[in-house]
Amino acid sequence: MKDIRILAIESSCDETAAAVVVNGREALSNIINSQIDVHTLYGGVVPEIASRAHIQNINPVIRAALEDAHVTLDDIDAVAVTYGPGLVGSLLVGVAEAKALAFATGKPLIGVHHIEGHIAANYIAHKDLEPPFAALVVSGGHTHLVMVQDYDRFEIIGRTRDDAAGEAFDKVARAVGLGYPGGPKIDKEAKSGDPHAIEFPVAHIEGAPYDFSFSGIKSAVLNYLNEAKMKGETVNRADLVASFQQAVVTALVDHSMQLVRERNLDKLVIAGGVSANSALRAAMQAACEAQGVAFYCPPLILCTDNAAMIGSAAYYEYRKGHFAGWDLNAVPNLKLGERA
Amino acid sequence: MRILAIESATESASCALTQDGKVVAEFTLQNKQTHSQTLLPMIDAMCAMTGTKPDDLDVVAVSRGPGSFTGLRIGAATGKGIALPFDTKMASVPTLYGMACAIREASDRVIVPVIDARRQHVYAAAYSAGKDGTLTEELGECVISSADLTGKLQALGRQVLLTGDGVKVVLPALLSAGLDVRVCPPSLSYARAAGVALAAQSMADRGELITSDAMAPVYLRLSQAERKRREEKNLTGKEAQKCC
Repeated sequence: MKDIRILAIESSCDETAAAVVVNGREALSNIINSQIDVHTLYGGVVPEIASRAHIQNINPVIRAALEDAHVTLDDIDAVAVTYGPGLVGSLLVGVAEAKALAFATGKPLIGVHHIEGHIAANYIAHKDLEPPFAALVVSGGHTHLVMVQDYDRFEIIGRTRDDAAGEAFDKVARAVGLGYPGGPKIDKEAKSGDPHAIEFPVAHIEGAPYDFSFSGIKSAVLNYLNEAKMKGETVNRADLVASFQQAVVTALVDHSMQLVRERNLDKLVIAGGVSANSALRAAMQAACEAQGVAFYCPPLILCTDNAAMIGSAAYYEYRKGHFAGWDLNAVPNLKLGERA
Repeated sequence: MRILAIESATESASCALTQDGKVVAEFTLQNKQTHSQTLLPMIDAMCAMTGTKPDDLDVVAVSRGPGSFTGLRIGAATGKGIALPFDTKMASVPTLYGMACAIREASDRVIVPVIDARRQHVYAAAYSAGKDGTLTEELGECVISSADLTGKLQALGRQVLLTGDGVKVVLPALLSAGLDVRVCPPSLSYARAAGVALAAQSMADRGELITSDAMAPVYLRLSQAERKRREEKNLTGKEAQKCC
């Protein structure tokens, strides 16, 4: 069978990315232009600034992805793009560019769901991985526990009721003065702290055992800080963030393992920006080993937003003949498993 | 010279094809649908009906602003995506200049295109047309209040031809100051791609084409977050308005 090469574009938040992926499993290139330095000035992603940077960066990023892969547009079989969920202004840049590129070169266009892309990052990292499996997708914008039935069939088992896990990391990091981005900074600081110094509550939602809630843990951290301040006590920051991280990781691991047990699964996958967290990776790995379940996580470069994962997910859409029209729009709240 | 032009800076979504200055085709929609869903299907249909292939194009011209931030980016990304595969040169056409080009032979008045910029301001510029149709800039593009625009136009001391969706914002002030103002009829006053293409032809003649990598919108306004940050840093309003 002929190799299928897909040029993929991702611009759903603050990374402008392009990649060339062969047969969904091999990334020939994976270019990521991060705007993190700009947004750090504002303590978080500013949508209008992100959109402006995307339009500046996108053509050089696409060109670099082709050059790195040693291919030209003639070698490309389809153009893929993230069309949701994400920031609408950011998504629109990638969507308009991808559509125009596909139109000008006469190639088919594939719209990809951002979260399906995060899950597919594991297909690049682990050539043997095939559905069905359980997937935990955790990032600054998303916390989903998903049953991946097939490459294009997803069942959402649990989701956050309030903050995404990564959002809770950012908010706590800001409150304790670690700054943005919170995830990596808390991860680092927590290494020198005691994760059991303070017991923070792990929320359970009545009637929805797989759903998450992180705003309670975040509020408990803020209350702890306020109380200490009122009493004039100094807070051990490393202990505090290690304990916070422990509470979040416990919730994520417990729910995931519960799903694995209940459905008698033999594979668990994690994905998304927060899957780069070293405590989460270690705890999940240990829990999987204890139950004899294969554990998969992407290398760090594929945890962050990137286009290689979009190219991988797009390949399975290509195989099914799921192509998009020139009226493809950005859908900021696109549901998992939905097709345009 | 074959030019594909794109205009999506305001409510209208518009594309045009010109050949050596003649408008071969122009498609325009003004129905509040998002440009994201209408622009490329229109370009596709227009190219199909005129038998134009993207690699036949000599120039891809885009209305680069000022205007709706999102609209500008949809137009720019569409143009950049069409230009990238064949290294087609691009014309980054100032939106107000394109609007003036669309009506440049219609009057010997000074042409003042205005786009509603919200918060009681408009994006405005002023051009006078020479006998050969070339436009001379009398007022450079800016974000301006009705009162300030009135002052600038009084200083020019010319009869005015007003065009664009900002007319409703500035007209009362201009009239009450006693300026001799004529308003372009609605059928001529919306931003349209034919004007962008004609502007691009002039820019090509002047050697002002750029690469698709370099093409980017010009907003004339900072993002709200940047404005706030500058205000907090106690910069003057004048400096805060200056940007890319």
